[in-house]
Amino acid sequence: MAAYTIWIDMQDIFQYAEHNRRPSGIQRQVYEILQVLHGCTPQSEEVHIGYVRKGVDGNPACIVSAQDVENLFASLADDEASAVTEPVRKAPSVPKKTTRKYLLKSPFAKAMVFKQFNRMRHALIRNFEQMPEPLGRPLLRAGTLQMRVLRMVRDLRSQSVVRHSTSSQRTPVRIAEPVSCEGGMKPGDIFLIMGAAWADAAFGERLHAIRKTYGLKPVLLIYDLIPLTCPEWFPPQVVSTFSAWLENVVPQCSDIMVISQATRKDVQDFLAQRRLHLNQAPWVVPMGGGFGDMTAATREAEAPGLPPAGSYVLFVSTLEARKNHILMFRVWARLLREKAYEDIPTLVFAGRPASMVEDLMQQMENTEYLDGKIRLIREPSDEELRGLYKNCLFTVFPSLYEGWGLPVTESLLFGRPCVASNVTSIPEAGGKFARYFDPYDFEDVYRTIRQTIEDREGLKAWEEHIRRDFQPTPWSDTARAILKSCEVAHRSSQQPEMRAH
Amino acid sequence: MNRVWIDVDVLFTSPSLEVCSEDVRRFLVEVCLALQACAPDRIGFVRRKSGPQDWISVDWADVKDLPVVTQYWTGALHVIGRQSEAKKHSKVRNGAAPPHVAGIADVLRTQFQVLRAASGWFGAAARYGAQQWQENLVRRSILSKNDGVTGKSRHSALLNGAPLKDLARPGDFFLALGPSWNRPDYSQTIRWLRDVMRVQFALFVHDLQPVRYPEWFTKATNTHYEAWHRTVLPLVDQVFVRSDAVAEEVTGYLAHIKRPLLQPIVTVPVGSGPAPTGGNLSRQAARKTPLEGNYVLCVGTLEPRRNHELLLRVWRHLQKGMAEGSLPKLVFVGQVGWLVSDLMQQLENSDWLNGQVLLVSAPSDAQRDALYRNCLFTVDPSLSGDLSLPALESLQYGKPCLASKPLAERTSDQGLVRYFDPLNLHDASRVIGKAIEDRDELKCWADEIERRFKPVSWQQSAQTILQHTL
Repeated sequence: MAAYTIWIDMQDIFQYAEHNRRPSGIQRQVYEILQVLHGCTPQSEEVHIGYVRKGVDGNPACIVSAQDVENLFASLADDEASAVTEPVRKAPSVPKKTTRKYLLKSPFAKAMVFKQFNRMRHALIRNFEQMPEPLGRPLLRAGTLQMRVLRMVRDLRSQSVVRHSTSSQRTPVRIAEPVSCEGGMKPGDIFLIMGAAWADAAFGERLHAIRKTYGLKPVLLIYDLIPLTCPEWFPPQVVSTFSAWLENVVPQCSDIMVISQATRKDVQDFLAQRRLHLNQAPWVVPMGGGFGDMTAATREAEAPGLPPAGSYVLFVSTLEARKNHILMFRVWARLLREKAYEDIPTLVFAGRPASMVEDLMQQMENTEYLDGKIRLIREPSDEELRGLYKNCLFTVFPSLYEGWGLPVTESLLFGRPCVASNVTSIPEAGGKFARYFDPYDFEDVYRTIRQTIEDREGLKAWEEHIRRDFQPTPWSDTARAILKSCEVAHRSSQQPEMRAH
Repeated sequence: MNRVWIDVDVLFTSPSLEVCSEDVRRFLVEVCLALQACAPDRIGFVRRKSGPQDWISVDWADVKDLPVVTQYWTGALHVIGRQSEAKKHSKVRNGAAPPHVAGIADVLRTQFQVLRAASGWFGAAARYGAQQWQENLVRRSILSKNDGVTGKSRHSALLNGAPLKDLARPGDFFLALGPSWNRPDYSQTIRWLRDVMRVQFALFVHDLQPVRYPEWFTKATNTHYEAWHRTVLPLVDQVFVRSDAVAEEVTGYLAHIKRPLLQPIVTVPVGSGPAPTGGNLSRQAARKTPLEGNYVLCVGTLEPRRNHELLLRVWRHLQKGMAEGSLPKLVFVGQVGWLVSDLMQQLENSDWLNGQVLLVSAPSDAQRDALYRNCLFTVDPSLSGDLSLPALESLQYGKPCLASKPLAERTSDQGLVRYFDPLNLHDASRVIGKAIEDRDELKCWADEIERRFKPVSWQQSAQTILQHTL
């Protein structure tokens, strides 16, 4: 078999780094996979790994060096430690080349402006909402539409860059950094998309250009289709961008990977609806687990100010409607009505309040965080998260819809029992080591959680079971599955030629 | 001859929805009307003028003219749902030719919409200002009429604008029918009534939920509510409630705060008599109500304990399992209350479940009437555990009602309401889905209601109250 290169699209992560300083779920996962990907490439065969992003001149695929990618993740590395050593860490990655200047064009100033703008926007929204309804509604509507205009203009600008390049430029790839890789891209190479590429509305065009110009074969990793299946949990803008993205991108990809059986089913439904056929049925890639340096998990956590060990139940997740924090709030409210205060463990929410939890936040406020039985630990660092996981009684994960359910895996990695909801992909993440409830049946939820709280003996045995039998999926499994899928895609792209011979 | 003085101050002050919900206001107006009809000579209406001991009488004719009451007859209909057709079309277009990004034309068009929405604000502001001004004018004219003692009342000149301290006789009753807990100095009024005026005090307790379920209300409510009931309940000579469940709550609460109950609690049957204006809906109003096609009705203020979110989930669930077009629309009737901004956001985001859900806020009686008459059935997924006024109304209109499973057996439903578990999506979906699919069964059920339902009139409610006060 001919040697080929897997070109990994890093555009979304570069873009993400412009506005954010800490990686979120998907960036973390990509990072973990990239860490092990090299080590997993089969020695016998000629498989190379390369990285690409959109060039400053609009080139749809411009090669970036491994060093660039490393710097990128370093700039995203979180923890207070990085804030302290920021200047030091930053120094080597400050670019001299124009391409890199573009990518890091004063990200802090940009982020500041962005933050200020958002703060103002939220203040306005709050003000409008407080007005009497007939007065506030037209203003809110005007504001929403204005935001839409701004986004459209932004998308339009980024699109024109791509268009420009595809129509006029057929020049070879501009190389950002001298890369020692064997030449540039060639037909039959793989274009691997495993990040959050849907943030870019013009991605379909870009992919088209990449396929046409370089003859790369796209392989797409899909995490979930939730904005499509349950639009009510997302801002309309996200839903329309995401579905437009799918409509544009999926028909161009005949090789799709998914991260769970549940997502696979959603993808297959989507394909059936659109009458699209794939080269291979969506390939389920096993998801690894763990974040940062997991060996640190064994170390004593150095995170002061957290609730005392064994006194709390943990729920790690961004606070948003889909994650269903309100259900846990209700369970604890009922526990407080039915049990003595001191017999109830504290419920710890670890995460950042995000969309559509205004009412929940208000309800917690109204009840004094259920008389102190709920604590919201905002934006915990990795170190704190480790500490929280290590010292909790057990974790809960009542989410209503997931592509995988990383907090369940993480809980098990730390040896903590997890009580989770039994919908979509969550049972895949928890396997036989988690216990489940039906999030749509309150009685069931309440009973399961109450039993877990009351049966400390059982909890011990359960912990023991996890400690003894739980086999975490290493990220290398994920990487291998991805490579395998790429190989199948590559082979299939070769077949027509072979037939021609 | 004893009289009953009824506190209608809440109608003059028009407090927030959380203080006086639509149900409570409706109850208040209907009971006042019925009391007025039953014993016109022995009923007086009073409102507070300034201090806690400064109450004056008002003529019912004037109360009837108040904006809060007239609005209830004329209505101020808003139908909220999927945004205008234009948006729908642009969506369809977007869907047909999955676009990458909008063109410049789209940007300009949206910018134009921004300008239009913004300029529309001036009109809205003017209309709103005018409406407020008008309401104020009406209110003020009534107030000024009351202030002079010269008003010409049918019963007696005494009954209009005269201070309560001149009118009340020892042995009279003072009845607080509506909510008064937003007045922190109410206990001073009660002490004055009982100790100085020798007037007995009766209180209608609608519910004690802010005490038991503080999470459903805002903080201000909870603080006031609890403190108010703690001081006031032990002073009440006669407690009225609308159901045995509330009676239990009150007894339990009094036991909890270790205070005695002065008289056994009286349960007042809640009326469900037909609305006074029936049937003749103007063509314009009819056009605005979602009358065409099948729909299921859910009546009640949008607030957390009403559990509207469950219905959203149920409809999403049913949508998956049913053929396109066979799922009836879901119509919420009620004003947008508190702690539902996330629910509203979810409705917005899902484009009102692709147009399957509608919200009709503040319909008039005639429109309400039309909405009830033409619906398939009604649902009441409330978590409060009490049979709501809308459920009774539904039976009154001969419409089947699916409601939340009560904690204890209840008799007020006359065995005609069917139940589901409001905390279990599967159960709710099954019960509601069955009602939607099995139309024959639904017809039988409606017939049974028609045959067996014995409506309680508001007169009966009034009579029960009079029995225990006069």
